[in-house]
Amino acid sequence: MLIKPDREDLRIVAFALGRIFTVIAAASLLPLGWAVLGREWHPFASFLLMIGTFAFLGQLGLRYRPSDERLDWSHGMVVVALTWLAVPTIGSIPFIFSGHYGGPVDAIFDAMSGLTTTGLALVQDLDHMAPSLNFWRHLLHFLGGQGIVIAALVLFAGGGGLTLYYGEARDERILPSVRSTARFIWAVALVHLVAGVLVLGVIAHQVLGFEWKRAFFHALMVFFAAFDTGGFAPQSTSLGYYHSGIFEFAATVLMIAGAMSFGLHYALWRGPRRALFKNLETRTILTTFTFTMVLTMVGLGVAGIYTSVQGLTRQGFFQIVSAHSGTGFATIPSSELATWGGLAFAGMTVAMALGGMASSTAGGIKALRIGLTVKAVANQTKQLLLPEGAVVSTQYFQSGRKRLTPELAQSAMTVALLYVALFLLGTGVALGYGYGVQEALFESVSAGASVGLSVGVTEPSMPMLLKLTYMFQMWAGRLEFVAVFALLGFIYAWVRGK
Amino acid sequence: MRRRVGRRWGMPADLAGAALAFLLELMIVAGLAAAALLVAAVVTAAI
Repeated sequence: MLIKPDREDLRIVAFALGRIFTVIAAASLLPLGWAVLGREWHPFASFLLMIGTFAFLGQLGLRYRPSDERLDWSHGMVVVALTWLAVPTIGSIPFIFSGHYGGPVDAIFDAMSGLTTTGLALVQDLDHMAPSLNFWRHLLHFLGGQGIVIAALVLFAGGGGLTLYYGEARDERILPSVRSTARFIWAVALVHLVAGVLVLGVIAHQVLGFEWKRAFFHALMVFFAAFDTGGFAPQSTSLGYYHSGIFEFAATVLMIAGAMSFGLHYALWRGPRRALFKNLETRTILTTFTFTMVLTMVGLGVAGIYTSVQGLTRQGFFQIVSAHSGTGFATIPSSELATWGGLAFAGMTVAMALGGMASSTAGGIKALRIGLTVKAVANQTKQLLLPEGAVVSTQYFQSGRKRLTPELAQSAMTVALLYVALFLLGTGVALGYGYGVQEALFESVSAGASVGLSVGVTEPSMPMLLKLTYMFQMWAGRLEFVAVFALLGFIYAWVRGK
Repeated sequence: MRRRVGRRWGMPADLAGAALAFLLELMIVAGLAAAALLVAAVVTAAI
């Protein structure tokens, strides 16, 4: 029998949401300040409306203080799922009034894409967007990539941090407490922010000839999108706008840093560094990266799309890093990417589906799950080939020697299968509207794995149902299903429970 | 190592750790780019 959530359950959820909305309202002061500095009064008014909505809902939630503030597992998951629905909806207010979107759904689509660090966009005439609005698009990447709930954890003490942390699809606690782990995650981001913006800004000024102010504006936007593996860009032609190999290389370093787990960042900062390459996840991602890169480059070579070593290296390497890290930057137009058929298409699609490392800002199935699945299948095969009763080692190395239990293997395989189902959902809807198999699959994997590369399906005139499907894929894929199922279960229990 | 680097350059150990981490990230990307160049050279020569 299902137990219907009582008033106390609703108070716990409302109070936690109130805290998170208050943090978002405070973060939204940044684009508001940007609009004031730039004297952009039209966006300023819409930012005020958005901040007012967040602050009002925040204060409303905080009025419902429960007797015990501690969140249990299901409360935390419901809070995370609702946060990731509400923030893009309210956060789209400045976009709705900007005149750059075909309607509210397109604006919410971009806000969802921004927060989930996907990067698919329905914005029109991006090259003439007010800088404060462009800043808000990219700040959504940063908030989503670092974890809005994690930001709230850093600011507010209180029980239930662990469930919120896991709800945002992070499964690795680096330090003893969730709060100290959250602080470390933000410290890594801030150090990369300073170094990344400095390097990109200097390149933009010295190599591309941008004036200092414009150079640092572009550097900041590209940093947010690269380190948080988002994929939005300040210009409509993505990173192809800069036509600079060194700028692309600097962005590649940030993309790879973003796709690395925070556990790996911790090891790089504080050691032990030698153990890094023994980790199952590091070995898996190096293998899958090499495999998909070779596949893509052979495909491009066979198709004769790039005939010089330089062209093949630059375009192939950048696009495969962008796909595998889940970033979604492109140095070529989507119409050119659509011509990458055969092996190149397969390499890119597989790279997008696999994604980055667990507990990183990247999406996709994640390298650790792939590694665990392969190890489990190999162990099963060994077991079959060896005499009955023989003992097969079920250990793996990931920040120390660990045991691969059947439950762990099953969990990794289940999430991987759910991702496949999610990719098929978007593919099926696009096929129903008459898109080709290749483009339907590519775009669906891009949405579900939070990548953002497009072969031209995502555009303002696409069918409404397809827009809604991609939005669901971005939301469910980013949260790695658990929080989504918890919310559905909570609603079902509320309706049918006793 | 970060403590040794920190002492030599007169900076806090955490900052030295961050600098070393950046260096390693740069080396990882350079290694991957070199691998891409090698693959591209082989593919271009073979086709």
